[in-house]
Amino acid sequence: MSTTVRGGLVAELEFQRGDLELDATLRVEPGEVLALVGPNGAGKSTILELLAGLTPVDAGSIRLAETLVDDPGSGVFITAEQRRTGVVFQDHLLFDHLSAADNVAFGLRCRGVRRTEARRRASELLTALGLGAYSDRKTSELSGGQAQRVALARALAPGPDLLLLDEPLSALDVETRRDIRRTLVEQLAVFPGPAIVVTHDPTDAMVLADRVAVIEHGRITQVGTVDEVRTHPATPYAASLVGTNLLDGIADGTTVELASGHHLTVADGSHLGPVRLAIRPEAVSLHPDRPSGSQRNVWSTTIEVIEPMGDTTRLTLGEPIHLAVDITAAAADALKLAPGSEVWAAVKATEVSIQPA
Amino acid sequence: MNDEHADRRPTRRASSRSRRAANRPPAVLIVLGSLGALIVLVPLVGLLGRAPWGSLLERLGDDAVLEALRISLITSVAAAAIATVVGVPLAWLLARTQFPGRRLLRAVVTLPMVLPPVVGGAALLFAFGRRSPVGEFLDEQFGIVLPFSTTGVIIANTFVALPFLVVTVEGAIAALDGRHESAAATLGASRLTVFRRVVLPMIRPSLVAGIVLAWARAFGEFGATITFAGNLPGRTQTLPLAVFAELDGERDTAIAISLLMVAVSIGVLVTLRERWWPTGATREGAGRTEVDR
Repeated sequence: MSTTVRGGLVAELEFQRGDLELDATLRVEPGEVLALVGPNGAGKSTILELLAGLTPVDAGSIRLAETLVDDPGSGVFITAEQRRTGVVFQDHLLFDHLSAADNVAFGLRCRGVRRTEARRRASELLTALGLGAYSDRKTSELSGGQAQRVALARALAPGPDLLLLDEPLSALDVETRRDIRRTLVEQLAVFPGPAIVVTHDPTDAMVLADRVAVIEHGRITQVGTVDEVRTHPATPYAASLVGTNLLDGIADGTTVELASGHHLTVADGSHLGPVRLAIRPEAVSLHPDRPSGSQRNVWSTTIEVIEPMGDTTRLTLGEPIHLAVDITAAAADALKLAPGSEVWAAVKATEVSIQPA
Repeated sequence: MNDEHADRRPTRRASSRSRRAANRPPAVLIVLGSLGALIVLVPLVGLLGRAPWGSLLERLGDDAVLEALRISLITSVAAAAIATVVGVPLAWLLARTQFPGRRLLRAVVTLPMVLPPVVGGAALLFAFGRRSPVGEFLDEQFGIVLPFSTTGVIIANTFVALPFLVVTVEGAIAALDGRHESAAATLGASRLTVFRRVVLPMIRPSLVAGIVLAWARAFGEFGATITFAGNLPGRTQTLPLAVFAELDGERDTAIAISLLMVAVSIGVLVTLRERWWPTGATREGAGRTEVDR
C-alpha cells in the first residue's frame, strides 16, 4: 500500500467485439470511486479488461497516473503485467494451491519483493482486514466473505495505480455482503488512486462510490453524483436503477423515526437504533384524496418536480419526506398533476425495506 | 394421480413380478457384454494357470531378466522425463497460443498414438539411421550411433510416449479458467511466471496422470524399439523384448516376466483410478466445489 498519488485515470475507450460496440470516456480522479452500472452485456466487464491491460483498445487512449498506457495511435501498449492495476473479481479467482498469505504475497513477489518481506507485508494486510488468523489457510477452506477479503488484500498488496472491482459483492449472501461492503468502504476511503466499482446494485453504488457512470449498449448514458442521477435520470434504465429512495432514521420496533421527525411503519420490527430504509419509486402510490386502503403509511404532500420518461413519469415529492416516485404517464394525466399539486402519498409497510445503518 | 391409482389396483398381484422383469437388462446385451469380458479375462487366466509359481522368484532373479529390467527402467524413466520436459511446454503452446499450423502440429504430435509402432520404428531408422543425413552427421561429428543403442531405445520410447503426455496436459490446460491467468497477469506476473506458478500447480493431477501414462507406454514399448534398436541383450533388450525372445527359449521365464508386467500395469491402474473411474464420493465432492465457487 505504498502508492503515491500520481494522478487519475483518463480513458477514451473504443472497442468492438461481437455485438458489443464500446465507445466510452471515463475520468476518475485520484482517491475518487466511480461506480459503473449498467445492464448485462452493456460492456462493463469489457471496460475493466481494457483498463487492466488484458486487451488493447481498438482506438482511443488510456492514461493512468500521468502515463500513457494504451494508445494505438502511437503504438503504446503497456501490458497487464506492467500496468499496476489491482483487480478484485466477482468470484475472487484466488489461487487455491496457495495459502491466503501466499495469494496476497503473489503480486509483491512478482514485483521483486523478497520472500520474507512479501510474507510479512501480506500478513500485515490480512491482519488489517481481520484475517490474521487465516494467513496459512488454503483458500479453498475459506468462506465466501473471507475469500473476497483475501482477494481485496491481494489486489491492494502491490500498491496499484488503479483499483478495479468487478461485482465484488454479488456472489455473497446478504449478511456477508454487509460486512464486506463495510470493509470496502474503509479500504476505498484510504486508497489513494482512482477506483472503479462495477455493480448492478444501487445500494452498493450509493454506499461505495462518489459518482456513478451509467453504461448502456456500450455508451455512457449518464455520469453524475448518485443524487444527480437519482433526481434527474437521463434514461429509463438509469431511473429504474438508481431510483431507489434511501432514508435514514431511528428504529424502535416497527416504527422508524426519520431525521425529519416523520414516522414510517415497517413490517420487520427486529431492529433497534439507527437504520437505513429503502423504498422503490414504484412502491409509492398517489391519491387525490386520503386513501382508505390497507397502507400503513399515508401522508399528504406536494409535488415538486415532474419528469416524463416515456411510459412512466418520475415525480419528486416535497415535505415532509423527499421521495422519488414513478407512476404511469396515464395515471399522472388522470391525477392532473403539476408542480405544486397537493396529493396523498401511501406506501405499504411491506414495501419499506430496512437494514441497520 | 387418481387415474394411475385406478389403473394399478386390478393388476397389483402381477405388478411386482413384471416390474422386476422390466428392470432386467436385455439378454442380448448380457451375452455380448459377457463375451467382451471373457476376451480380456481368458488370456489373463491362461497366463496365471501356466505360471511357474514355484520357480517364479528364481526366474525373475535370472541375470538376463535383471539386465532387461535395468534397461527397461532406465529407458522408460528417461523417456518419461524427456517427454515431460519438452511435452508440457508443447502442450501449453498448443493450448494457449495461436500460430499458423497449430492444428496440423497437434495432429502430427498425436499421430504416434494411433500409428503402428513398427512404422514409427522404421521412420526413426530412416531419420536417424547411420546412412541418413542426421545419423551420418551425429556419427561423424560426435561418434553417436543411435540405432541398436540404449539411447536409441530411449528415443523410440519417447516417440511413442510423448503424445500421451501432450494430449493429457493440453486438455487440462485448455480446460482451465483462463481468468486465473488474467488475475495473475494483473498482479505483475510474466507469462512464464503464470505458467510456473499458476498453470502448473492447477493442472497437477493431470500432469501426474500424463507422466504415469507416458511412462507406462514407454515401459511396455515393443514395436518401435525392436525395429529401431533391435533386441540386443544388455544393450537394447527391454522386458517386453525379453518376453518375445524367451518365448522361443525358456517359456517359463517369458511367463514370469509377463506376470511382472501385469503387476506393473495393475499398479498404474491403481494410481490412475480416480481419473478414470471417479468414485461416487469424489464425483459428489467435485460437484460441490463447483457450486461453492
